[in-house]
Amino acid sequence: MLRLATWKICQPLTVAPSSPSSVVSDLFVWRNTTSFKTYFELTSIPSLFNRISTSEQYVTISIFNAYGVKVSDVKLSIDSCRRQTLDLSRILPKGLDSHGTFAVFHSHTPSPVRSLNSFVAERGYVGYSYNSSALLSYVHGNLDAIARSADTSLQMLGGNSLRRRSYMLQHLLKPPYNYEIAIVNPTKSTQDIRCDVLSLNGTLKQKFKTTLQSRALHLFQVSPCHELLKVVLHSKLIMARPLVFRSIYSGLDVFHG
Amino acid sequence: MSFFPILSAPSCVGRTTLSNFPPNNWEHLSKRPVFVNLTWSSDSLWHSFTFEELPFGMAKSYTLSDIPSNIPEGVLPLLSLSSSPLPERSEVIPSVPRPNQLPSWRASLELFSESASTSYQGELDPFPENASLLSFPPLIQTHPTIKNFLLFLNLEKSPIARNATLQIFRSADTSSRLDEFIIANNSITCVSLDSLNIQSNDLPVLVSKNMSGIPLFLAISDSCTSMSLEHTHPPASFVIHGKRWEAQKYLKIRWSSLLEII
Repeated sequence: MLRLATWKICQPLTVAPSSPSSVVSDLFVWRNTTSFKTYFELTSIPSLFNRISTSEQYVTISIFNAYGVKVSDVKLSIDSCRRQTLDLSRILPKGLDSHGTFAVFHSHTPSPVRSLNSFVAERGYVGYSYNSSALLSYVHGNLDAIARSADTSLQMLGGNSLRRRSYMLQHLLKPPYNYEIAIVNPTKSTQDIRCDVLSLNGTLKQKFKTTLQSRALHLFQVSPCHELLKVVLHSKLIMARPLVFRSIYSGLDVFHG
Repeated sequence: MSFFPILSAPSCVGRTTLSNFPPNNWEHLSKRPVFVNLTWSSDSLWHSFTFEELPFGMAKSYTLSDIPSNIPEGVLPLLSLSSSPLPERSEVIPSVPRPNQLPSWRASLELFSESASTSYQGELDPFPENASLLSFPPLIQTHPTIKNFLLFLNLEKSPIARNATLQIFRSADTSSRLDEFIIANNSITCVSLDSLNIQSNDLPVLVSKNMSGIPLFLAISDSCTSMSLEHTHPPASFVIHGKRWEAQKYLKIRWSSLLEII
């Protein structure tokens, strides 16, 4: 019990937004290259809780580059109880690199949610198209990473660990697939991340390091040649759960660790 | 640890990869080998069969044909890891430990064909028998060359077979039901969604008053060269902090009254 306390006390996975007017989003990954296109399934979460006025039928998409710097806020209208598949390439500013992060903020937290001292959170579904495939590979959001208050200021919600932790991906990397292990920084501070690639018997095969500013994204590239491999991420993130892109020319599989 | 189903779907084979190493370095520190079990329900009993040990640090993939057991056709095969063999028969699903929370101990749950595969990291724990389901899936792909399936995954403690009804509506038009399906407990129920005439801007809503589960959405290209598999979140995931499960209850009550559920 005491041993676990050193890993848990004052180290929540995410903190609550400081402003009661905030709305919350995951920090999603966008990719925009000749091979990858990114789509987001927009739905009006507030309209599922109660009827909302026309003036409240919008979302704000905040787009960040690979270094976590905000490059754009885009306000989009959405219909109640409808689905709208957003092609991110239509709203990404010109001249950006090939990948980065984005957040989807709803117009408000509806009153039935606010009365429970809760916040509306977008943890929705990103679809990736690979090599112009008509089929999208979907993956859901998994972390309440970032809050936006009524004055439009942003607050990172990811907690910091006192000690360095290891996240062992319970998925084996196998040839002939190419893997990209995507990790984002949901905290307000800069994070050092180490990615170890190991054989099944634990022999270190490759070691990568990166430093991630707040809201930034890094893709670790691993291409197993002859054997099954394991991936371990070391950092002071409470849970360095990566997004994994597994591709071969004919297809793509995307999933959370 | 939870249970890890071997999935099944049209034109695909299920493969589940179990790991005997924890997802983090601070919650579960055992380095012992574990037993690999197969569990299924039939004849109003849970049946379990322990068929091998998995050394610490290893992982291994299983399709149904890899397992030396003749289980009845159509049952949901559930793999698990445990420190001792599970009882051969029981009236309540055997208890398997859950050593991890951040994150949960997961397996790779995969569907594959000759030229494509799709997976997610998942686990399956028993749902309460009095639970209901509400889900808003924006995952149906309307391109004419893509086939869509709902794979409804349920597990309960009791092995006694029962059915429930799953209804699907357009959330923007709650007066007309698109269809309804029979779903079964302790099973994976596969439903083709392509005949429902769901449009690209429709947000479907799935409801079951008498059974909960995990709704998985499988999309397969005509040529079977690409696939996508993802599950939806429960409605509690629309909110964080505070009384989020009360928010889920509120949504279920609201949508139950909005939809003319029979």
